[in-house]
Amino acid sequence: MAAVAFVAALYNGRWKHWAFYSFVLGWVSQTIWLAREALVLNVWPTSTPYEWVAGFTWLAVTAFAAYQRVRPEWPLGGFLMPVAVVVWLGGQALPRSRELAPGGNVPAASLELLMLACVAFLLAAVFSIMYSEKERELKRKRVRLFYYQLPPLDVMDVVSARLAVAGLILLTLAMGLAAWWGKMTSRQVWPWVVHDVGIDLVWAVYAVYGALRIWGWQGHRAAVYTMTAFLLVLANIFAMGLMIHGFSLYNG
Amino acid sequence: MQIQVVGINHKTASLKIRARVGLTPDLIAQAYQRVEELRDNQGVVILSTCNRTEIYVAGSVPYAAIVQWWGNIVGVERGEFSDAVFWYADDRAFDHLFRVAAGLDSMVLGETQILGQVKAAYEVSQRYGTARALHRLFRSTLTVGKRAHAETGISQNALSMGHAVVELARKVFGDLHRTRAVVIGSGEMGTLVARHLMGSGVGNLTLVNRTVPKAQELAEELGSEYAGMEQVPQLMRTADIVVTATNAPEFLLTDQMVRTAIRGQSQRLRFLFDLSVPRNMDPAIAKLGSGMFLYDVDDVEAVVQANLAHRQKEAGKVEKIIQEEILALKEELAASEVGPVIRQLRSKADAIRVAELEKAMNRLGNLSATEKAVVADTTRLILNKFLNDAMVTMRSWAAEGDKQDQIDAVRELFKLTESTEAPAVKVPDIALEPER
Repeated sequence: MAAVAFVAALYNGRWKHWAFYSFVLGWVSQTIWLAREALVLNVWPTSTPYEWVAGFTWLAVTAFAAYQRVRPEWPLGGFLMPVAVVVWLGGQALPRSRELAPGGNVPAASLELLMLACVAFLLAAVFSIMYSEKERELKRKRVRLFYYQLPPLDVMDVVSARLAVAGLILLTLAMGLAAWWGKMTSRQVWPWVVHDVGIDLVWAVYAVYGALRIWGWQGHRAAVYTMTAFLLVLANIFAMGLMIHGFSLYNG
Repeated sequence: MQIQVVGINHKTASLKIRARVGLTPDLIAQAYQRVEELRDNQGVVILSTCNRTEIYVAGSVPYAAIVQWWGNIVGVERGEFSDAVFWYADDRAFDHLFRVAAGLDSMVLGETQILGQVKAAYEVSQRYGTARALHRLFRSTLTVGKRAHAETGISQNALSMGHAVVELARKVFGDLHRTRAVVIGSGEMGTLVARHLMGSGVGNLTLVNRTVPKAQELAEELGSEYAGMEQVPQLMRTADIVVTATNAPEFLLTDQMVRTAIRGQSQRLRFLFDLSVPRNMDPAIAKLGSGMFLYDVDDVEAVVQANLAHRQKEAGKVEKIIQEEILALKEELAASEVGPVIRQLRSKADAIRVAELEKAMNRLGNLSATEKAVVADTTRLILNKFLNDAMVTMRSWAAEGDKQDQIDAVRELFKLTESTEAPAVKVPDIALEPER
């Protein structure tokens, strides 16, 4: 409901109220569910792929709400909410019983840092989508919706880059913590197994992005890169979650 | 009480007539000093700008008397301009003034300057003490103007070529202070755009012209830099915004020249405006990089038209605000009409009660203080119960508005005047207990 209302609000401001109320309803319901799970498990629920995706989408929309408080004039919801809902719906297909890190070989903090990193990557991709839409209107010289509503191109470009770099830093911390934990518990720092390669690949893709930005990449190409990179993140979450035993970090 | 407006504006009168009967600040001062010539007026406010002269009058002053007075002030025969004069009263006058303040009646839809002019006109009338019964109307007008600009997009988005260039640049560069702009051509359009860019705080502006002294002269006036045409390729390399506005019959910027200038920077955001006819920029330049935006004069005009359509859409929202505020104002004005009548009626009734009670007490000389108080209290209760329905009905008139005839009827029936508002008879000591 919220996703539909946020998209409708892009076209007609009267939908903003519906978007807000349905967002609050959805967010509160998800928060109650997560809190209940946390009380039962005695830890924030990130132990199964299903829980992890549920927590990820919750964190993404919470970050969106925080962002909207700072920048209420930016119609971020119309772009982020549909993606968040699709990810959440996709999460319903993920295993609910299989653990991400059997035997507790990965610290919970590492999985949560990974979640934060993925939220940053998602927001970076959303800003890139916004950039592309506004750029398309300006290039076609038919100013309509996004010309009036979206922030300037250079601002969206910079915000997207900062979020991607923040995500990369968080991912690096998550991997570092997992590696250190692996060494401490099983003396295995770099287990070269397929689900860890996925995370390593994501890290490498965003590290290359950081390097390309330093070398002068910006605007259109950078936007396409971050959107594609986030597709890799999604592929990693779902492919590893569905086909391979978890997508966690160095769980040996 | 009637509120009316008599005036002319750009829709009803030619520039010649507007100039003849327009009121300069000196004439406005004279008019306020001669305001008593408008017999029975309860307030006068004059709004005079280059596009309109409007006289707002409260009270039953005939239309012809207002036009005659106006003609006398400006020294023009009434017949010379009366055909161009419009007249509205009450709701239509409120609607008109609210539309004026919100910029709906302006030449440039949604312009904000008029709100300041309305405010200034009201302040001048206050200085001369002539606004009187028009205070509520003008306070509501300022509220409408502020709400229109704050709650809708009526004043947003550029409607002129110069503004549109700056607006488009802002859609790409959030902070113009960090941008470098080059304007090629120091003619009318080039100068206009250069002024707008400087006014919007562009970080660095270089003016280029074939005749360098002309560019230098304008640059000195604007506080910018200047250069000759031969420096364009170097300037292109660092420029974020480039504008051409010349009469040159050929391309001043070819794709080869730009390609060389931006080599290694094809992703960098650049906005190029070709405001020349014929074109001064090769259209192929637009394909030189993903960050390159090239708009010609038709493209900028299309943006202006889109902005106008956007403002027209917002005008609907302003109309809603106007209707809300008209309702609120009518309620307020009706309450201000009913309030004194209620006070006068109660005052007169109480004065009669007290006077008759005093006479009765004189005849009943041996009553104790408690007994006197009971009698006084009883008379008051009878009066309150008797007047209650009338008070409730009159208060409902305030909420409904448009009940001037009924209010006048009540005044006539009970012979109420301003003097009846204050107690006519001294209240004796017998009314000891508070009103229940």
